[in-house]
Amino acid sequence: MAVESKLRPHDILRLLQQGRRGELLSSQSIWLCLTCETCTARCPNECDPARIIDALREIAWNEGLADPPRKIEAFHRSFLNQIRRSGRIFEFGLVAGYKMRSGALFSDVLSVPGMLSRGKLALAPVRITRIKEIRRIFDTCLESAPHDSSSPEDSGADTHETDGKGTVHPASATIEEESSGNGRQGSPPLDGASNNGERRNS
Amino acid sequence: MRVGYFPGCSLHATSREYAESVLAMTGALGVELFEIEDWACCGATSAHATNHLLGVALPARTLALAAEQGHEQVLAPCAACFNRLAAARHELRKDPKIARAVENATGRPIQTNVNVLSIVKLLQDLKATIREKTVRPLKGLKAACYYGCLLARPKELTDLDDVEMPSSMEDVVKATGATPVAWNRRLDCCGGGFSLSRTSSVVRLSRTILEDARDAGADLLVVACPMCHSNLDFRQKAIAKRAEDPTTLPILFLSQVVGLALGEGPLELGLDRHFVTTEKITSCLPEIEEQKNVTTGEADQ
Ligand code: SF4
Repeated sequence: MAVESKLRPHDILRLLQQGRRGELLSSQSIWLCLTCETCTARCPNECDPARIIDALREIAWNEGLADPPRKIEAFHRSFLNQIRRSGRIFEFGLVAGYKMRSGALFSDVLSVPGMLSRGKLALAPVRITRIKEIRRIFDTCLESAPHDSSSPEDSGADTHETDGKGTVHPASATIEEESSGNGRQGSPPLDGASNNGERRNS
Repeated sequence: MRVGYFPGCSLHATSREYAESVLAMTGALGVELFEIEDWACCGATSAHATNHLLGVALPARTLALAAEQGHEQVLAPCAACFNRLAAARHELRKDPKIARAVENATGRPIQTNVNVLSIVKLLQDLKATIREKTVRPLKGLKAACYYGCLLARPKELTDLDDVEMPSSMEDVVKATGATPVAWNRRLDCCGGGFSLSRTSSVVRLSRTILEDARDAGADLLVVACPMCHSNLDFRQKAIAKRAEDPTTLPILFLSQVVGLALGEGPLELGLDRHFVTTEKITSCLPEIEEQKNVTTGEADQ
């Protein structure tokens, strides 16, 4: 993805060394990383940009500094909401949530007729039996993330997920809503980033 | 051989044919798959990119369920699920702090003894059996084996023979009688999870992969990941619009290739569910050499 990113893996490491926190956390580049692990596998200095980028995304996300391309953010939010709600990804639901958030209402997305005729779309969502365990996992993990006080929510339409009939499902309240609560008092985020990231050097 | 089975979300929907072919083929090889009861999504990129702990805790629960249900190993045919399950196991083993946090989140004891298997590794270990049970050798078929990112990397998680120069998939393909071709883009990324959210990147990345495989003279491209499949198969039409060479390249799952060699029918293996027609492959399949008894695994719940 380097050709599409302003910051390539080595640029990100350089900014990190220079402590240019704001620039890094608000960059779109960190959201364009596909975690393909190529940079990590081939770094001659045993750095681990893929883990570092994950850590930067998490910090940016929690601190409300994240500025991902709208569609990518929409995808992540819809995806996580879907897991929280059902325990599994149900593609129809994922796509509905994604379209609403991204505004990509007319994109081909899953080419529904083609997918249907090939038997590739499940028509009813499956909810796992012990969904409470999944909710608990989400709640615990989000609670332990530092609280984001200035969350840059996208449109209001994003705050609740509806079923297309305008009904608001309380169970599907979005991630960020759930995360409001007390936060872990962490080390300064950049330190956190390098601790999480450079597993080989620690 | 009894193995726990983690299908993951894609195999229950958009990659149904992957599940169908995995079940048919493992049955024929004498591997019994048992789907892990009440498994949940591994969290994929969206979890690990936004909340590290969540990205470990979701697959950790699955590992705990697998252990509880008596499995020593779990097969994750989706390369991305494989990566997340293996990453969780790795982190739980090396980082007690994460392990404690995960235990607290899942409310289940930490289990790190369950071995996570990729389909490539499972089949590589069974290549002698594949050779033995092949009744329809795929002679003359030239296959480009595509690993993508998550089967071969990172090096502490992969179960293949080499990070930069793997030959595991080629080994399996050879056992079916087909010929692997030498090509350059085996380990490149297809665009992975950007299929919906940044299709332009997928088109750009996948195109170079398809072109390189074609240039190497491949009749088909073999994958072991539902995302790679969807990007290279479903998106091939969009890719071709702008590519110079419009020749289509059938994209087959490794399990479909092995299944064909073992004598399974194209329909049982879901070859009709692809967007790019697989006729080129099925029309030149040799006759089945001898009759054999196909035992289907009782893997579904
Ligand atoms: S893992 Fe590294 S090489 Fe791969 S997309 Fe991310 S930054 Fe680029």
